[in-house]
Amino acid sequence: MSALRTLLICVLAIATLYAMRNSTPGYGDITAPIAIRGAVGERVETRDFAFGAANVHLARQVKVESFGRVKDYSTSGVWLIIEGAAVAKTETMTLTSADWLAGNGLRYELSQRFSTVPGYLPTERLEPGLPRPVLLAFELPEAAVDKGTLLVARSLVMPLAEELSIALGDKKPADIKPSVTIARSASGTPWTLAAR
Amino acid sequence: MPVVRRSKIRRRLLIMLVTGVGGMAAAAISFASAVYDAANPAPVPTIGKDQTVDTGRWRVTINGAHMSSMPPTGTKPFEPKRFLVVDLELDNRSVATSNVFLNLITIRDEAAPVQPKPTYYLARDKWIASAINPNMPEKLVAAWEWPADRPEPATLSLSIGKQIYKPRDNLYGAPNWFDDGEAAVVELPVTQAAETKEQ
Amino acid sequence: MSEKRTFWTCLLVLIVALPAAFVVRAWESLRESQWLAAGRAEIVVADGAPQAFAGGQWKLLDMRRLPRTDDARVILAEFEASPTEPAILSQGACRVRLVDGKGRRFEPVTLTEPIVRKMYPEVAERPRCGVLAFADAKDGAVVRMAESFIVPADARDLLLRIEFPGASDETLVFKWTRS
Repeated sequence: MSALRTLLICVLAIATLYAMRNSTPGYGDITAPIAIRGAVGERVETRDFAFGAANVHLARQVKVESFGRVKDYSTSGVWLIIEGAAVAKTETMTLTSADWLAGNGLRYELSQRFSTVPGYLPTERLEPGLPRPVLLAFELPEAAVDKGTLLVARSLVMPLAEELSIALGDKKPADIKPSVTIARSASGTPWTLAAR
Repeated sequence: MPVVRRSKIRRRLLIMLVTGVGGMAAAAISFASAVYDAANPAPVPTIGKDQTVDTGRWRVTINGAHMSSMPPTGTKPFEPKRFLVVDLELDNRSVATSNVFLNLITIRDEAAPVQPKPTYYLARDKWIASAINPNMPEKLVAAWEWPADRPEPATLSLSIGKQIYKPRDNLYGAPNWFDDGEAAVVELPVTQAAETKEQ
Repeated sequence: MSEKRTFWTCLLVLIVALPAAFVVRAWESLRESQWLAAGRAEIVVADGAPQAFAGGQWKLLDMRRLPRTDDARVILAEFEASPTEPAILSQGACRVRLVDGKGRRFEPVTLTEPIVRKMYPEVAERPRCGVLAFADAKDGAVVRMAESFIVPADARDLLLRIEFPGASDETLVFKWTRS
């Protein structure tokens, strides 16, 4: 009887320890950014900056017109282009991290192929109180567009910083355009976007 | 201090002995197996072209290699140069976009090329490849600038690196990928310069 | 000593020792934390008075407000430093910020704004605050510097903050109430 009880206590202790070990949040979870939820079409605020996604486009190909030359950017999936605006609130900053979180949990980083496009988010310096139009582009498999979320943060390596999580919701564009052309613009927004 | 009976002391001694010997044995076995593994590393498989290597984070297929006087962009360099061009296919199996593949493939050679790291281009539109997205396999072209003073190779031996995922690393307990030796060695012939490959 | 007394003494020592250990371990972090550092020494100087700071005599010469767009203005700040101890000055890294009445912090722009080049070409030529500005200066010569900022049109009560980590722990704050 006593032996059985000892055994039972042992088993119980092992089970408890195992459960505790598996449910302990890891370093990544503890230092994860704090999500602030919003939707496409509205201004979403953090303590340091505000961001709003206005227009969402889907395209098979992107053409960039720059100083008379046209560059073609193809993709094996689809281009997701977001036009929006961002403003810093407390200090001069640059929003260097933007990811597309697909419904199945895969993270797609902002395409690094448009660093020369005017108004591209990670190259745009934001002064406090002066809103700037910004452009974002992602290369995604077609299935990753639905139920996707746009994540925007100051930096990827800042623990416990705020991160915007902007749901696409029902704002998904109805059709995928064969080609979209981005060109420099002299007035208004620094670029123009035209579907061909 | 109360007086403990002799039999009880003997029992305690026995328990200490058993746990001590057990623990020592476990430590010895663990140490010995680690030493054995280090002394007898698992052989790295050697494969040919068009075979897929699963490196954990990436699936790599080397499709071919050739020498060329033109970089993959199709713009003729100012001074004549030679390039070792390798066609490959990469599939990112991890959860996030990554550009770590830039350090994945190295030439196995006694005398490494002058420029040890190749430049990667996307095969579909010839732009420099920056990062590969998960669930989007890409065809890439890697180009090594071949030193002028070395003969063109007839065969090529590429070493493909491996990475393992640790949900909790040993320093912070943070999730990350870590280099873990070689996944495979790919041996393939190099076809000679296709000089008139204009684009 | 009785066993009971030992027990209570140990418990009491633990109550003191645990928080003490925590404070000792976290001391450096606490000292660097924002809300304790907020009271770090600031030297506030009004309207162009000279002030000794980080191995030099500093003076804000002018702060001009120039047009940019409908909702933005360019602030051009001109200041000078005459080195008294050049060795200290060339050690540090200059960090300049413009702060407005709402506490918003503006970083200086890296490229000279076209309006500055057009209206004040001689100011546009001046170096920005940094090691280079002091390295080129001759012994004892006054170093004249200029920094420009882009601010919203409604920014008021501007302060120019100069930090010199490495040379001084203090912050020099220039007020400008003219113009």
